[in-house]
Amino acid sequence: MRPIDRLPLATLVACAATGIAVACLGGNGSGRADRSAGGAADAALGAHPAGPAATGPNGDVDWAAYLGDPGRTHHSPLAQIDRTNVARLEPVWIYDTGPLESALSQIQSNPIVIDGVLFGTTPRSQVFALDAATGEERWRFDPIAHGSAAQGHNRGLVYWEGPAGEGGRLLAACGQDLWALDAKTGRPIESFGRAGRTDLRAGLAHGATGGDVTSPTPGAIFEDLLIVGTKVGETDGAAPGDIRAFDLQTGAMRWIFHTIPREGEFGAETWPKDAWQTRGGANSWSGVTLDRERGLVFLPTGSATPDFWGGDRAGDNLFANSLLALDARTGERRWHFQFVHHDLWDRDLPAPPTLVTIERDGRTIDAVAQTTKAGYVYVFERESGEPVFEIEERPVPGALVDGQFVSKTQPFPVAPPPYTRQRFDLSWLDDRGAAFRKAQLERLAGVRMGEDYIPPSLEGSMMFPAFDGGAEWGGAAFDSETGLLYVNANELPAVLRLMERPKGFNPRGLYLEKCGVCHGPNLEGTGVGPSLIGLGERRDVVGIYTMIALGGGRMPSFVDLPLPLIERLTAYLLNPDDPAKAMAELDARPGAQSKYVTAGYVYLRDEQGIPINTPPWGTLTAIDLSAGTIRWQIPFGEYPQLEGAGRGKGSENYGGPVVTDGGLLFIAATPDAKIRAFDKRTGERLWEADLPAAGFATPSTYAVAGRQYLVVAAGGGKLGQPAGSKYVAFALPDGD
Amino acid sequence: MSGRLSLWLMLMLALGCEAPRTNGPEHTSQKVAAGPPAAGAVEGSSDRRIGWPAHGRNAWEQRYSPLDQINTLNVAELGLAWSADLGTNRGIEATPLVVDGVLYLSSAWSVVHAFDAATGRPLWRHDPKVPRERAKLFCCGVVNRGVAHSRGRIFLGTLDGRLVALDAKTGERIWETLTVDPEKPYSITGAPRVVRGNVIIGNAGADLGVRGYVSAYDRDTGHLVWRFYTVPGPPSQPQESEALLRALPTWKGDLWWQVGGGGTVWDSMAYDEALDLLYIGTGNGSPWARHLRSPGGGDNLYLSSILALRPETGELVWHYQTTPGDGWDFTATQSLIVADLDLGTGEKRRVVMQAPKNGFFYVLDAKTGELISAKPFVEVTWASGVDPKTGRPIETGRGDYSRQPATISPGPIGAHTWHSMAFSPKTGLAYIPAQHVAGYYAPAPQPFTPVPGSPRNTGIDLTKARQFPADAAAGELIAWDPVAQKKVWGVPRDTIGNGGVLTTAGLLVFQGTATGRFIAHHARGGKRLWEYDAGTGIIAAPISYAVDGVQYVAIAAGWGGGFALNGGDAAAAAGVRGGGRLLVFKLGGVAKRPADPSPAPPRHFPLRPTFDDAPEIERGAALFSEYCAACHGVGAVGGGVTPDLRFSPPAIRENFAQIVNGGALAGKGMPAFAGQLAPRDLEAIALYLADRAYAAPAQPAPARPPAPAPVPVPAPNVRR
Repeated sequence: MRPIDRLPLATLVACAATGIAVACLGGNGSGRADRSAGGAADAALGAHPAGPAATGPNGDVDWAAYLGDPGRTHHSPLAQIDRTNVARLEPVWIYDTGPLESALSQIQSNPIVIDGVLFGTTPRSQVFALDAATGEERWRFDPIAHGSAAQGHNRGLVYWEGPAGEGGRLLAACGQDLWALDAKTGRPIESFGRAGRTDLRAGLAHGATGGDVTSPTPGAIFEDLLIVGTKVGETDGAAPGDIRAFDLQTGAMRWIFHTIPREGEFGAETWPKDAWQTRGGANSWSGVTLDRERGLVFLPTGSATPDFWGGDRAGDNLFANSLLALDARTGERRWHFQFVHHDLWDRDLPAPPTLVTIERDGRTIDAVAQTTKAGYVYVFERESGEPVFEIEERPVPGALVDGQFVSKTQPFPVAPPPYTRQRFDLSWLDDRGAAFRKAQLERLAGVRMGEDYIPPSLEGSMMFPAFDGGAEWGGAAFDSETGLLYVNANELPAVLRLMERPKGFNPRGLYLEKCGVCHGPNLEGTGVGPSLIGLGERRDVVGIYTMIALGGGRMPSFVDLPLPLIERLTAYLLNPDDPAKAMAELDARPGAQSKYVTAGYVYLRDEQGIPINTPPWGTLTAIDLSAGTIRWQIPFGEYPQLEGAGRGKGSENYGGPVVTDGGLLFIAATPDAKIRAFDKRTGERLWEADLPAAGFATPSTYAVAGRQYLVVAAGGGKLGQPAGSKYVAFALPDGD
Repeated sequence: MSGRLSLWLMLMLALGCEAPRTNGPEHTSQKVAAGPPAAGAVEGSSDRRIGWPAHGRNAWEQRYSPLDQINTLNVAELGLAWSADLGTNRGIEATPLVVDGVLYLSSAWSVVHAFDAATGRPLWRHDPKVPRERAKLFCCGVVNRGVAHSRGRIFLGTLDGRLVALDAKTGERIWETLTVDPEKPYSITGAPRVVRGNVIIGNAGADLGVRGYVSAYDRDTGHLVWRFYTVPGPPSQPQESEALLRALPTWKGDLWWQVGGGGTVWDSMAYDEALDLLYIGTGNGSPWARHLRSPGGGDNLYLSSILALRPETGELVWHYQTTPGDGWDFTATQSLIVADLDLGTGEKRRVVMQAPKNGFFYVLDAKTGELISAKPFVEVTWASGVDPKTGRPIETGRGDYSRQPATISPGPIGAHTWHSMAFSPKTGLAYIPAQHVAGYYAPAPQPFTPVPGSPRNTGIDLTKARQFPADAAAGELIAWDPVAQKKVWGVPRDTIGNGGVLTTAGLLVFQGTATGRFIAHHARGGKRLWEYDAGTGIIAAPISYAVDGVQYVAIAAGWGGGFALNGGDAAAAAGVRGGGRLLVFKLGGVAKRPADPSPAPPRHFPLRPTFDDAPEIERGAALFSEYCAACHGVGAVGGGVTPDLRFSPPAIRENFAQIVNGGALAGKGMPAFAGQLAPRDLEAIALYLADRAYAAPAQPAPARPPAPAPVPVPAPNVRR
């Protein structure tokens, strides 16, 4: 720890460059911008649209909210680490969250730091507090030990300063529970909800019976409300994705916005009558962005369910696949924009939009930028929802399957240009020798390609980028100094193929509906889920049954499935060759009427796990939002399994960047388990370091007692990489 | 405390009523001094072998030991001499006996143990094999409060109503007789007493619906000598005694005799040889609610009364009714103590003292039953006092719940219940294990129909009893001056349900607490002088005895009984679990106690109910409160004895119907409820349990493996 007088705050925070001198000098006494109280801190921060971290009196600079601030800018004013010294960064502590419970677990958490205390989550959604300078654990709370359902991942926490005089609270979601914890002790706040938790299923019309309503991405605080979205199922029977605001003191639901409109509500005509009573999805799983000054929350939504078949949800399906601008106090809709009409491709909006401020035609515009899985960024004026760059409705292919409903057009922005390639065709097949080419051509025989938005088909429809994107849940960073939006993205193809739902009820039909998407139509496994062949030799009946009912690791919980069906599914998994043994009455189940089901998430990679297309397979792009152009784009990431000529071509990647006033862009996200720093102006790589596992998460940066730290969760568990359990913090060597 | 009652309702607590009990005066047939019973040597003992031959040590039941080897100066050196694991996790309520160097102790399910009192060597064990499926007929646990000894025999009342004579040397059964109608919900939890060759035994069951009585059996043959019914039988039938003919006009209507009327003699007795009077305490009415039991009023003799009987004939000599027309479960079955008090008149007067549930401390003339004085020893709101002229309480009317629910202090749990009181002739003080807890009474919906075999026929709406917060109850050890009728000192206890009291010539007062502390206080002033962690809650009373010149103090510890089973959050707050053990102390003892009960099992969470389940959850809550809470806790909060049903492991949940209705665990004391609960009811109860699981406060974080230490610098290879 260095004495504060040896490190003038002016060097810690690049005040002059960003015009936040007042905050730099401690003018904001309370120190942090992203506190529920808001107001003063924001005002002190001038150009920063959402109020990034300010400096406290002790030389502490917080990372006070998910992705840095409620505007989700991924930005920090810290400048102690800069272009000149970043190469000297070294790890200063490693925190191990404990023994791994699954080889597929992940840590997607972006930790927050308040007054020198770091709050994060473990692969099992346990919540912990650390001394942010030393990594020493202060406390830990395990929601699952208190009956919260397991969930596949958790992206972080929300800090609230709490009622006057009572001290700070953490809001932590796990399973169906939203917990309020004492930030000092980790103990549940007894007066909140029921003994410290409130139920995330509040107000939902249906489908909220099981473990498939969760809220893995932190919400946003406005005044005394926490506004949250949810992750729900992707299949028939999923709950609707209504947005709720919960009272931070009592846990009571204060408002609800129906993302599947009810009778008489705006947009109800974009669905069959009474769809809200049976249809699900249109949920906001990827995060919430707040414009506190305007009292506006922005919520990106996902597709309606089932994802790939919409024959019984004819219409545009508002407010699925939309950006919603809601009044934060009341939940009233101010404006919305739908990015995919009647989605059949799981084209959820993958990340919370980023609050940006840009210059167009001599005018300063407060805007909100939304990245998509398809590879575009859309920019809207925050207040009105007017697109900053024109958006065209273009015709797209028609139906390919009997009974399929498709939208005639889809919207495309004329600028900025897409940050990924579009419309895969065979000319993109990488050159890896004749055998590779032959195998891939066989694999792609009959697959429809070469167009945007090809509807799912029996013969297979090409998707590029693949199901996950494009841009993903890591989100985009915005730097007001450069006016650039930084987006990391993936480029690989996938095939979307439908198959007829098996007639009558048999356990295989149930398997295909509930399990096949992740575990493959023949139990062989996919990039998302492991093979289940021979499962009976690895787990006993109770183990399988429990896993289906309660989930674990990335495996979601299916507790909403009637127990007899779980039993039959278990029987099927134990003996897939004799489904007669497990026959039962699935068709009697409400909502299981889709004529077609998907044959699974088929990512097109070779046997080494490398996408079959020409590189780059992953990119990092800086987009000039004022000009509507791409400033720079580089291949990003490496596959650890490739050497020599295979290097430098990018890789799939998950987890977002962080940009600082030190002129740097920090990002991990790659399967080669590294964290890197780039020059934010040019994309030049300035530093990289190994992590104990792949850092599929967004880093955080903060300062304690005048020293700047960079921390990232190294949780691995995706892209075939081993799971990890650690958080790693870096700083300049003491004495630097 | 009454202030907060409103929330809860424990009325329920009903259970406060506590375990069925009965018991009888001790009296070994040995001589009982005409004056204060010989303080020192007890019959048959040598000077170096001073025992505890009867339930309250002597016929006056003072629970005072003349031993003073252990005293205020050296009690800090008290240590464990020996111990015994009783092999049960159910409640231990018994006062041991020590006769001729042998310690006799009854435990859960009416099992009796005998040990060498100096070494702890087990001598024999007798299990009367009480059918476990009768458990639902016991209001307050499968407990037993003690045995009697006389002429080489041990006398035991069993939970299923038998009176058994055992050979004190071998534990073999000599005779056995059934004292109750097995078709009715009678049980025996109290200790027998032996008086003038008769074994006196009462019984319990008034919360379920029975008619109370006390019986005398010939010590040698087991033949019934006499039986005294405490309430009249059906008016159309001949009454069994003159006393009942006098009582009959104090009853109205025709419900009471169908339900039974109550008035069971379930715990206290005492005997004075000079007056040749056997004193017994009678319990509450069946049903509780007076407006149902005796519409139109009436005192309902001889409920809630202290009765003086002729021990050879059962003839009633006098009676004193503490709570005429009781409607609040204000039993008068609490400790009866005979003493000679100097009332300031210069001559000692022989009195009977009692501090019953209703909150008043009574001093009666032992010969006539005349009220000498009565004063409240806790906050009392149901009556403003006791009229010294009439001897009747002056009711405030606040306890009338015939139309609206009422909250009063004390409540059915009682200002003091079966946990034994002691009296020291040396200090002249009575030591009361007192309780500060109010009661909420909601009338049962009309018309009230008693259900034979129902867990409760109280006339109280038990379905409203949903929670018992820990802060709604507090305990206190009160040292009471029965002459001045005022508190001399008191020490607070964390919760209620604390153990009975022993006082000694060493000027010590011993009491164990529900929280598992065994504590010695100075008999004057109450200063805490010594304390021992028993590893489980203590509810029974300690004794002291000497063998070969060494004084011992013994306590049978073991969390359980009515409060532990039913007390929900308040019981759980004691923070202990069942695990019966006998702990015997002496100066300089260094033995180690038996392994502590295993900690609460990990929580298993059931599937979570949905919002749509709310109506069924509410129905399940009412059913649970009526049928299950007595043993599994108000609000489904386990008190540390029976399983906490909120967190049952999957194997239990999946077999819920087989267990609850099918009796799959009847052998472990979980009776079958088939015929009382429909399958749909079970589902509703399961939903309620699931709902409660998710409303439970978070557990403190369990100790977890050492926190992963932060790794300092040297980490992965860094490229600069």
